[in-house]
Amino acid sequence: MSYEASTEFRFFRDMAIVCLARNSKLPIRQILQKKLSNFDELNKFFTNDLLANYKNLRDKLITDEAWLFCTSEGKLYMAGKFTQNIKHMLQKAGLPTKPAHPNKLSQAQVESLLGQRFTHQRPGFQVILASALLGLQAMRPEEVAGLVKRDIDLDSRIITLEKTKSQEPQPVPIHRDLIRPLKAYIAYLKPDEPLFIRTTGTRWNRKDVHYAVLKIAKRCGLAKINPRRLRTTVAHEMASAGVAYNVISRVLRHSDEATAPRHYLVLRGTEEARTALDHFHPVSNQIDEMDV
Amino acid sequence: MSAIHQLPDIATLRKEFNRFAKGVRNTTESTLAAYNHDLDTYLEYLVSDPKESSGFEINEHRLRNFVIFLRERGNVGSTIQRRLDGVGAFWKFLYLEYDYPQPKTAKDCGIRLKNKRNPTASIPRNEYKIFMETIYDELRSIN
Repeated sequence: MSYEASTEFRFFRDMAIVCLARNSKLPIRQILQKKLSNFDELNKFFTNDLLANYKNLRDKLITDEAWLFCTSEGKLYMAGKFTQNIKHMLQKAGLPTKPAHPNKLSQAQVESLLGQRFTHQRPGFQVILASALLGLQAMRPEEVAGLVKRDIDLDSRIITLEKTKSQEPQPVPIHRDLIRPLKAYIAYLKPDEPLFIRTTGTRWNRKDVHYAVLKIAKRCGLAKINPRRLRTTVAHEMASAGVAYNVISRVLRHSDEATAPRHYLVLRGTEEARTALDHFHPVSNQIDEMDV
Repeated sequence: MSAIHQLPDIATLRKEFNRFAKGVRNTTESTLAAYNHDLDTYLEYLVSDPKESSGFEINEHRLRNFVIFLRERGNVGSTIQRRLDGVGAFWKFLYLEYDYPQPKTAKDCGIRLKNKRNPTASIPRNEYKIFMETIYDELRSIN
């Protein structure tokens, strides 16, 4: 399990246990003994999506163990470790670490812990959004890494890139499939907050964007996928769909329209060359290949 | 040549070059950083070559030897081109500001470099589809 997936997994697991302990009054040890098959009966104690979300993440875990609540490695989750994790979360939220037992926490404390949901989901969201911006918008990695909330205008569906290769601000139309996720994501951010940050709080650089793409590629079982190739692929797919070169150049934001055909539109293998040749008939009298 | 063209010490020259590049040539920070790295490599070469003991100088002969030095280090054509760009920019600065001999291109110095960069291959359609399908699945979870 990747770092991003593990962070999200642990948050939903621990918060699901907290809510379950408070709502069902079951002892923690007993909750940790529950099996996957107990999911439906336990979900009745929830009025939110915590357990359902956790179950989705749990289902992705490759393990033979039948525990509903387990470690991110698929092993038995111990009560002591759970208490330790809750204390850590309370500390992160700036709350007193005692008492740490779910039944002794105040409602305000639980709300505060639930408020950390985005913090734990953010690393995973970042990887997805950065890869989507490359795979759909053909943006450059350094442009993605440098984005801040104020660059995104969802009303006019425009991203304004301040730091570009040409050193001049450039407007980029937002792909319509990115509107909803971007809207949901930036709602959590402050006006001048960078879109992509590391766990230390520092801004991403282009290498982090590369790593994000590699993570998705690894998840798909693909090799040799990188931002550069994604940019080329977007251009190529557009050309294959019949989009004019000058429009592709505009999408890729080239200062010279000749750059797109020169750098990006190399024929994919021999197939496109073959298709072109098949449509090339210097004389009307064609020779049937089956005659041979 | 160094006797004819009296130059300040290299530290002063580099300071002036940075001001020149920024102020006159409107060079960006990243390009300037690359130029400085190229110059560092050139100075490294001058120090490493026992035959080049007459101090700092740029000429055809030294550029050719610099390329040999880079190739022996295992640098490829594009890296060598990058280093020559930085040294060339510095040479141009000396020409404009210190009446230094006119800079020459790598080709004029007899240096052969493979300039043409291979275009980046696109991702096969089926792989791109798998990649984007995964992203779309995950995008739906952002709410």
